[in-house]
Amino acid sequence: METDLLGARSGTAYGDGWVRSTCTICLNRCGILAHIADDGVVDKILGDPANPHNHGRTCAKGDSGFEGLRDPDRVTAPMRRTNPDKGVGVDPGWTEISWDEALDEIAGRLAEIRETEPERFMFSTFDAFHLRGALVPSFIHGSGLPGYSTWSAQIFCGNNVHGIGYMNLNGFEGNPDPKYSKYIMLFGSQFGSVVHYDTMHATRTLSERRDDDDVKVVAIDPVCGAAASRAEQWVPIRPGTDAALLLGMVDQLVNELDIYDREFLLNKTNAPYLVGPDGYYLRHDGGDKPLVWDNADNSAKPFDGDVRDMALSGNFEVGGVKAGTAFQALRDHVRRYSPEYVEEVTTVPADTVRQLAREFGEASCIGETIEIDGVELPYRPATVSWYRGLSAHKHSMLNGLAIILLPTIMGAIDVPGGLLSDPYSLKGKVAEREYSCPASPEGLISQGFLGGGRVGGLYPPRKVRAPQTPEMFELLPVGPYGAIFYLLASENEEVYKPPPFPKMMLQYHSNLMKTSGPPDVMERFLKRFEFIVSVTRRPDETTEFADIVLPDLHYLERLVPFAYQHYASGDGDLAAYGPKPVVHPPFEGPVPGERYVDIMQIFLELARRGGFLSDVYESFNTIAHLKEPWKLDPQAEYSYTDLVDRWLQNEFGEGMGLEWHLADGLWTDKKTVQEKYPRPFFDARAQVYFEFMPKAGEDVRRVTEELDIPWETDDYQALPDWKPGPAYKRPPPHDLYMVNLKVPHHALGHTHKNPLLTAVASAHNDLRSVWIHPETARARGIVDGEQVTIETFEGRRQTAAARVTQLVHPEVVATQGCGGGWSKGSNSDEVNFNALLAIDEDHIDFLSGALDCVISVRVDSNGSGH
Amino acid sequence: MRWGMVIDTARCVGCHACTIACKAENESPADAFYAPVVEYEVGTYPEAHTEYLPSLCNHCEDAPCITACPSGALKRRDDGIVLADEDVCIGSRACMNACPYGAIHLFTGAEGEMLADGTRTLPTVQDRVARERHQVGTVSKCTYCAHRIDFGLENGLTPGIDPLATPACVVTCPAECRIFGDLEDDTSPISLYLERRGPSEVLRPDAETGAHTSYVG
Repeated sequence: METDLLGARSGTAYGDGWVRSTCTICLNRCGILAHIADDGVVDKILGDPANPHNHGRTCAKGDSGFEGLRDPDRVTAPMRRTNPDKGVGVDPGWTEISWDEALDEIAGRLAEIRETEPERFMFSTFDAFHLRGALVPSFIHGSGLPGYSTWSAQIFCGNNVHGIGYMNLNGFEGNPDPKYSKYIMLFGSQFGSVVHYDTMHATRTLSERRDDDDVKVVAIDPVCGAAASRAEQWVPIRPGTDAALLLGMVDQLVNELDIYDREFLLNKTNAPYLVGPDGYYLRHDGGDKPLVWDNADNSAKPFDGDVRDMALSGNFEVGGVKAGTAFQALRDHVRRYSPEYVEEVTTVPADTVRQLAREFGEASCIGETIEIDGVELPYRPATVSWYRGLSAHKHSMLNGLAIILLPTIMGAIDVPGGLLSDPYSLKGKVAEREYSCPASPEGLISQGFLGGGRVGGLYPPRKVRAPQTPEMFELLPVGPYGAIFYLLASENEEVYKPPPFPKMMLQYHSNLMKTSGPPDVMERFLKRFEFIVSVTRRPDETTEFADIVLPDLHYLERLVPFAYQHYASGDGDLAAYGPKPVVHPPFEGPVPGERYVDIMQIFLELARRGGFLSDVYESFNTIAHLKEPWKLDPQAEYSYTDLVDRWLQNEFGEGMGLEWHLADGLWTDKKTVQEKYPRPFFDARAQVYFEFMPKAGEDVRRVTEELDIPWETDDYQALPDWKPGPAYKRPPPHDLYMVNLKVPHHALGHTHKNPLLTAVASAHNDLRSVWIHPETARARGIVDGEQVTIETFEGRRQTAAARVTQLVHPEVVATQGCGGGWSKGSNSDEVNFNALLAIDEDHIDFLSGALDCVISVRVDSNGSGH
Repeated sequence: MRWGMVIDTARCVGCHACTIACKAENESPADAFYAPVVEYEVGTYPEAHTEYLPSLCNHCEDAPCITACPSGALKRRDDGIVLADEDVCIGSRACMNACPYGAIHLFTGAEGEMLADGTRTLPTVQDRVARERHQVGTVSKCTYCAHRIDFGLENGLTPGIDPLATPACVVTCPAECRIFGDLEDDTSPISLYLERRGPSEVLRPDAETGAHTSYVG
């Protein structure tokens, strides 16, 4: 096929000179049109009006993305380190080498480690656009080098989101329904304000509905950021105490107000399952099937048996054993979370706790239905939203279990107005997808590994065994991933006895030095690798430790077929599309005579030189589900674009290959009502009582005791509690809680060196300041605008400008984003939040691998304002 | 035709997309933001929040900048758009003092760093194109993206509806809080919006400038 591999300059709504592509700055991956000026330079980017995900809109990040194309610090050729000493701020002494030399050396090392110690290789990236596809995963699996980590995303992102999403929503995460949710509680999330997922759809839809006062958003947040400012109510809360408020609301709803979805709980959850005095289900004839109570004849029967009047609440005696329903256990459990107790823990007034519970309950419209596409569905328009704000805590998993209870008891799961799953559960080819939801023998929604096998689910728990990986993942039977244990275990090897530390790392799109732990910890960690390869567009804090650097592409130079199946939640349409080259890079790529259009070309070339190309091809055949005639012959040789072409045609049909992708490349489809709101259409049950947890905890306890590894297992509870994190009520002087929050123009992306965004941030002094409440400032003699010193309980220090503001809880010091850094182009006077974190047992959740991001600090005036 | 913009502040989420889209479209000098979002704090904890006020040139009917300009560089078109002609501007800054909205910007030429040979580093793509498009020592401002409106009208497009004929800040806005169109056309997006959400208010009504940019929400 003869082609210049550039996206077509016509054929879009904007006419000539506009090329359809995809913004990959953040995970929202909006459809864009990039404009090419007469001199061939990309000079502006607009939203693609034909794309149903962002319907022609872009955010500040997307509008400014072209800046990176002419970054003066761009890496344009492979480079080798000449300075053997590695360290923060140490000049690597880069010298240019040829692609041949670089690839031969890397391939040689890969081949060797593959033969001898494949477990001591680490592949690190958060290239989400490839990871959910089939190409880069084919290299990871086909190479036989399975070590893989996204780093920061594994420490701060979905630790208490994904497993819980799959357990109760059959989806990777849950988001409010922008169109029908009438009452949305944001627990540390900024849904609807260009700072979350589904962002363009949510922002536009909520804005429209606000015209008619059709929606109430309540922001539960220590800081009043963009979403809380726009919210109808901001409820400041002491950081790390949200679970107490959530359980207090559940208590009000099930024990005081008596508002919950009885039908849903009986038919779509494990609420009626009988639980014995030991906390485990009573099972039918010793088998798998839990029993329920039939009031009609006062007997226990299998949950799927002939039950005429199933009991939701109550205590019974079954064959001489005292038992109660799971829902009864939940009701009894949450009684301790009285509004007064919740106030003591959270600082949210008891009356506000009652108000929120009542409003949430009333807004849930229990019993009401709505007609969608001619089908009558339950209408439950009260819901919640959460992500890192609720997840990055010591007791992260318990927080996640607490929040999922709220929509679950109200039946507000995947129905209009409720918490909506993203449609990962759509299986098969994009165009011939099917919804599926497997059920366990216990009748429960059952997903093991998620996200192409790289993210662990919650239920059923995985088998616990001695650690095989340096991230100790085998000791996390309900956790999604364990990157934080790489750090904890490598810092304390004699205690945790991890498998041998990796020797070699290949990393791209993951500046782990800046985005994971504090520099002192990360420096020790990175220095332990014998050999690091970084593929990067510009030198950053991690490439400083690399031995070989290869030039990466800007997203407007990349060719990634249908980045992954795309969605807008609820009634939004499905779409599939991906980045395609708008321009070519001003340098040579890894394959002579081939346009450099994707990083996968590097990996294919490494596999070829390393002698495992056929394994990568076979892996691609499997992961991409390639059928004849598109299947690869493992003994043949293909270019990257051949792979793209075959995958596309396999997925979308003959004629819909590379040529179509470059000329058009946007596939859309309407959802069926079942795809929009799947919950009423399948039977597998969600959970309000987590019976599997204590058993998983017992397994972890047994294995770690055998191995003599100290491991925390107290949080493996069948019902969640709020428990204090390490910063909770720390005595003076480190008695302030430091947290950070996202800003719209830097959220979820890699934008800190974009000069346009930096200019906007500077104009608002966004990233240089810490927010302090006026009373707190006064007590410390701090005046607005002066430089203050922040010192953590562990002794790490930074300075920042004080912003004295009413927008923050009096016990809290807040900073926006995570700026700073020391690589070229960084804004070193910004606050580098991650550099203040503590990596120790006190701050790590041993269930989910989350790191507590509530930091105990003292803040002192430098006297500069006096 | 009388072009106007209404901004629904109840919709704005403070994302700054308009500011950046404008900068990319109009290639404004580094420190000149033609369409900034002003942020200010209101209320007392815990009843406090940030208000977002998207702003731009108000394209006034009785524009003080035109009256103040000694060189005749500031002009109003027949369709109400107020433009600064950089070829005529002598950099007196009288317009900047006269404008009640702070909407006029002097290209100081102070971006980047001065090098030993007297030239400047131009750290961004925008800095370089701004130097090509604008003249140091003169003023520039929001044009309501007049070039897009003119392009659209020449090509049968409708400003306020068709993206290529509509100001960049309007096109990008994720919350759709900027509505543009012909104030003299009852069926234009802005007229329909004002009918539903109006009446609108202008900023600094005391200045009595007859602003064509107004606010609801």
